[in-house]
Amino acid sequence: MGLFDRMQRLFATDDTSDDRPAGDPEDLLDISAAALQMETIGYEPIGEAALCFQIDDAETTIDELRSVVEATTDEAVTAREDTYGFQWLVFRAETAETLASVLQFAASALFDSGHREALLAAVIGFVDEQRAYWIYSFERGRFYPFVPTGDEERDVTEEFKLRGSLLGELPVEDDESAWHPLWPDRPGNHPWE
Amino acid sequence: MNWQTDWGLRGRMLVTAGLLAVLYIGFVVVLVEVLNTAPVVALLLVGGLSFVQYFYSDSLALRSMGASRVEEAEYPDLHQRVTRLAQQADLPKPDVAVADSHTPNAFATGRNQENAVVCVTTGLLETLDEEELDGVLAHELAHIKNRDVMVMTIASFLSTVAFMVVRYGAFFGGGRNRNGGIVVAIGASLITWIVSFLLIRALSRYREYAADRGAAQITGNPSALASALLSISGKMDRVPSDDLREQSQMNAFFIIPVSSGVIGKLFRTHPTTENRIERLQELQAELA
Repeated sequence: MGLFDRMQRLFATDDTSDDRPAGDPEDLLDISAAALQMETIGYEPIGEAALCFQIDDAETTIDELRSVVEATTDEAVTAREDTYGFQWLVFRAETAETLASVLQFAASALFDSGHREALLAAVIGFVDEQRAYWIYSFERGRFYPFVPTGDEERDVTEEFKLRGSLLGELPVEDDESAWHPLWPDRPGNHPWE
Repeated sequence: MNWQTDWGLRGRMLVTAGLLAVLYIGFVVVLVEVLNTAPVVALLLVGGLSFVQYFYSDSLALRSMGASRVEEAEYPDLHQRVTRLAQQADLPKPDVAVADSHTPNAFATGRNQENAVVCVTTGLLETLDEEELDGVLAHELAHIKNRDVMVMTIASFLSTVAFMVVRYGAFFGGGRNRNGGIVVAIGASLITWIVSFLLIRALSRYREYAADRGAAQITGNPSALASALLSISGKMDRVPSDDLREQSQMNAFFIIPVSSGVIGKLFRTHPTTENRIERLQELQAELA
């Protein structure tokens, strides 16, 4: 499926590049191919990925979602709320491929239950000498790299390198002014921690 | 050498600060009016936190950047530059710190002129030539001279209180105030938060221009700072540092996405590199 999607995108680039509609959970499946490419430049997946959204009275939605995900996969799911008042569902799995499909599954479930607008971002983590993340913005339907260093600082040079390396694998946000960070609550943590 | 005061810039700064003061006074009056003594707790709490943050701004900022103070023996050239420029700026010599990061960047912090630190990244030292480095260091010294840490702490204080009331007001006031006072308080806080957010960012942009002007005054070489800005920024300047979540919450109050157009401009903490370079070139022209 990943290959077919990518073939389609390859032939459709001209139509979709300028005016892309809002996010599509199917895009998250591209993460598997992206992870392979990340490994060729030295980044290993850390085995965690997360969805970030904001729903009033989210508890029931999260519980439902968690039970569905846990029923279909063996993967661990945790939920938390951050200091901005956003909810996070964090998934743990061995391979990036599994994480990609769990993210896609959970995002589709939120789309189908009418929470399309509430979805903010999907994030998957990698590590080399430092941690690097790919953030998918549901508002813009594109991925961008995020390499936080310390408190509210980012390694832009590394981010540009990652963008260059994965241009062929992901629909990458080409407007850098939309590469908004997801600062962790404490420096050194993952954005979802 | 004597420089003309930029009355336009000074005027805009005063107007912005004045609007902020009026907004804050109105905000406090409304809070006291509808909640009597309850907001005193929030004011004291945020006041205490702000003071601690302000008092320890140097160590907090350095730690968050992973930077540490360096001795003269480790970075003799950098220390010499700072000593010379501080003399020219008529400032006590600040501490010097270096952060190990490829991203070229610099900042100044500290609660007053006697406890100031200038920090640069290793990326900055690698990227810039000597004159450009002087320009950037002078810009940071100008921030110290203008007491910008204090200015921005004071300007942000009541904005933080307003944000706290918006975020947590319902928890505290819900049961006790049957007359709906808490609703008025949250409404007033919301308006104060949004308006002060924009005013603080405008003020921050004016302080940047003022520091660029100060740097030109110290080095007499505005072009070098302009060229440093060009070397540092390139496309990197476009990568934002405001959080996606903050952005999306602000977006909820505006119809047009804040990252685009006029509204995007209101949200910036720094003026665009093009505008700064343009003004520095004007300064260079005045000098010639």
